[in-house]
Amino acid sequence: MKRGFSLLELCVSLGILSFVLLGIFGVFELGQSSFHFASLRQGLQSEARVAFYALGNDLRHSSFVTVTTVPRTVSVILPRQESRGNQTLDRDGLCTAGVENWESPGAIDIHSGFPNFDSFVVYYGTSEPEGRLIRQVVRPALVGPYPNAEFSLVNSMHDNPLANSSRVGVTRTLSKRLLSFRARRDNDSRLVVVLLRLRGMGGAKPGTGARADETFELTLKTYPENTYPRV
Amino acid sequence: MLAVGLLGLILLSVIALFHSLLASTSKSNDMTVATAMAQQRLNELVTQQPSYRATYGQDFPTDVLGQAVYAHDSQSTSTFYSQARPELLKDDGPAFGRTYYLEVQVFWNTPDANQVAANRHQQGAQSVKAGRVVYVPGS
Repeated sequence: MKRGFSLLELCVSLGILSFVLLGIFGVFELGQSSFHFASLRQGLQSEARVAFYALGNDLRHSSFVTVTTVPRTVSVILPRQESRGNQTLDRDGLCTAGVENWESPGAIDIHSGFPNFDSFVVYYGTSEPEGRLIRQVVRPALVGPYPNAEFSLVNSMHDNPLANSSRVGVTRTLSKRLLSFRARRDNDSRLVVVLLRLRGMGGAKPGTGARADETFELTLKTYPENTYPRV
Repeated sequence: MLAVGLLGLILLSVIALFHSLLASTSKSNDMTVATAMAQQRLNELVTQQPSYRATYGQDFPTDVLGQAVYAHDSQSTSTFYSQARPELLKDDGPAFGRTYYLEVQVFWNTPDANQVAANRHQQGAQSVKAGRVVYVPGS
């Protein structure tokens, strides 16, 4: 005679099955959060590298005299850090001056012998809590040796980059997860020092389950190679 | 029981796999920071070289510098140490100058600055190097 399962056997097997399922879903969740954190880290790293490369390239091709920095701090309440209240963050501005076409007859001022700077590459952090790092090429109508009477770095640092009153060229958002951007000129060493800090909001941290954020920072120290006289 | 045991083993392996995935991204971030730091230190040493002779009495300072950097976690910083190692390749005398192979090593995850270039289980080498041949003109 065929015998069925007793209630006790069913309960035990269902209990074992639920433990197994709990384990499987636990690992699934762990995998999901690990993947999320891994891609968040990689994303922050690649954004920082892109900004780092662009900044380094522009700074290297400029002269220390024509590099301008503007310190600016913003007081913001960061998402998911509301309990800490207002935090003061650096969102500076930095600009290098350049000449669009060196072969043009008007590239050099015939009276002074200095370049007629006609394009300015501006980097700045916007003032929103989750800031953006903007790179914008500004082409003022007035062209001439440095400093340019029409161009102002402070007036070029808009949260909406297209609100710039000067003629603008290529505008790129290098990062949408900017925490702080600090740019300083060191007059002794003639190095331009830039600290870039990005922040990404992560999900539950694998293992602990607590919600955690990731911060990634890089420091750039560049000597503008066109500086004269050289140190 | 055998099936449950096998399933348990598989789950453990998957956990270990994800753990190593996180560890690898963490190391990748550390290496990016360290590589950038080594390059910056090298740039700084090369551009500032003329001032070192008066300050340090040698062409390049070799002291270990530590810097706390946010490399991944927002709650804590990691300390990265950098040290320059100039290797004299050619000395043409005080009138002509010296040629160095200047190497900067950056290392991290060490308890103190004296324990250079630590290796850690399942992490491998925790240091990077950047180097350049530098000519220091004579006086």
